[in-house]
Amino acid sequence: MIERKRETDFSIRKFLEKRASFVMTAPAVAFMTIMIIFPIGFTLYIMFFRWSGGAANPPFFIGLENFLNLFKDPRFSNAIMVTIYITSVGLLLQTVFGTAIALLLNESFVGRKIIRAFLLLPMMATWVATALVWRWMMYPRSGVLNFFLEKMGLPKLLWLSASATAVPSIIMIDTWQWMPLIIVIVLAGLQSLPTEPFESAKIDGANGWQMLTRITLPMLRPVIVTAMVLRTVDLIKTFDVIMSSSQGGPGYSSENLNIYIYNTGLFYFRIGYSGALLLVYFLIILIVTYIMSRQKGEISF
Amino acid sequence: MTLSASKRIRTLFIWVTLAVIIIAFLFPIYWMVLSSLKTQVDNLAYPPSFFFEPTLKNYQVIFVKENYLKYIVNSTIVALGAVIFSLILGVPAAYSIVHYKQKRVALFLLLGRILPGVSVLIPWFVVYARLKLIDTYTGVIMAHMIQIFPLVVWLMITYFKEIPSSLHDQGLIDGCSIYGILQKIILPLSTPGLATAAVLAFIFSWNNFMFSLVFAQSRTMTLPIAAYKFIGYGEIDWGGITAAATVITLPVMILGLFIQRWVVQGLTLGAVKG
Repeated sequence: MIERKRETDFSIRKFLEKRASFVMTAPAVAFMTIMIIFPIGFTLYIMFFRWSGGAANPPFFIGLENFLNLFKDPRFSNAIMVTIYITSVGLLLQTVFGTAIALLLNESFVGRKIIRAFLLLPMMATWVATALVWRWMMYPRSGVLNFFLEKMGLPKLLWLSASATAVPSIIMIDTWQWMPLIIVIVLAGLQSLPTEPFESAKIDGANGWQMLTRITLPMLRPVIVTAMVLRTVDLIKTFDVIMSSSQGGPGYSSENLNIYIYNTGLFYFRIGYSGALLLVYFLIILIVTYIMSRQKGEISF
Repeated sequence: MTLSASKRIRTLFIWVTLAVIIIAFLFPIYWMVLSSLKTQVDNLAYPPSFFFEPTLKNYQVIFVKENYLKYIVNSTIVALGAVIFSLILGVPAAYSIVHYKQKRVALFLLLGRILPGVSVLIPWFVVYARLKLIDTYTGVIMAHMIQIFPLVVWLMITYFKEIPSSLHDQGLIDGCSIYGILQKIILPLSTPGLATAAVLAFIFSWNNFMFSLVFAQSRTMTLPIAAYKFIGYGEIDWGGITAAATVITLPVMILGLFIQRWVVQGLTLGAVKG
């Protein structure tokens, strides 16, 4: 008896040691598989059905009807346009100004660490909370932003309350929150640049602008591209800011795909249709990630 | 002479520009705290006042009438739970990934960061409803872990990579298994890494909105949801909202300052080489 017990003990230990890589990663992989692969499978299945999520009414097979409905759905095409709007304008603003500010910061030798700490605050602060603060600052009647506009002699705006300015307002909040990420990444890239090219360029009589456009920016390209990839993936998924500022309104003017899918599935309980929307969303994210990952990017800290 | 003058102007220009940018970035946080100390009458006054008689009434409303202590407790339970379980699952996995070079496993675990939250939200809502997991700590913690867990694994991977492999080999010579090495040699050395990963994961869970919005509706309601729901009550109480925002953001902003370098690492997760 004792002999046999020792034997099994031995074999368990042997298994643990021989298969350590499996034993140590299996729980992690199992958890992620359950949490992620199951929802993907469910989505790929339910998108062929009409279902309101209730247990009493089982899913009803409708084939490709959900996909045909996509083409007739003005809210879907609107959501696509809003997603493209937020992503492209947000990315452009944050990259251009983020890089410019990083270049400026690199010139100042005092207090870089303190400035970096300040820049991290908008990213750390709970996004819903700060978006609510922005909503307050953008409050048309007594918000502080309209006060500033007035002081500068500019007309007051309706900000989040008008369909023309809702999306720009959201981009403004997102830029406040996430442009610091680009600044911090580019700044780290700037500090890891070698000094030799600059020295030899100086000897050759290059001016500051030439060094910036011919040496600094080309050498920074991989770092900037990486920062852009990160921002693109997150801009496509903008959710917190919209939900807690305009909630997609007025009307549907600031409703992006993420918010529309959320509303379709969890507000209107059109689970099947939300599956079809999700497939389109997956494809968009896949294509964008693929295109962007072909650009060579890297980060080193 | 002229060169130094133009240089001085240049320096001045840079400093002024930077000062303006920093002020612009900090203004919303300043305005949040300022508004939280004003009465509703002061807040709705136009033009907005920068000097006024400060009041703590909004905080009284938040803690006494709105019972924010409960949401603080909920947020803490959820974040701690998500962090602890992520560490238990993630630390051995991260060490194995580094030691056995399991790059594919690492990429697979990163999926939770890349996939949009809404794509797992709807299917899990259906399942949670059946299993009665909605509004339970277990359910909320599991949902939060979808995003916290990859973060912990990847942070620990970068941390373990910096530990020289000679320490591992020394453990082997001393007759330790990989588990013994991890437990007796690597983990004691990794306390700073574990702490930063835990703090960063805590912040991300504390800030989580989408999953909590669906799964933490009443009994387990977390702080961001409480602040979000505050908006709905008729005329908006801006003093109360900014006080709530201050209460929610202050702890994470302070925590974040302690782990600055890792904050960037956590936010650029997946773009890190290797």
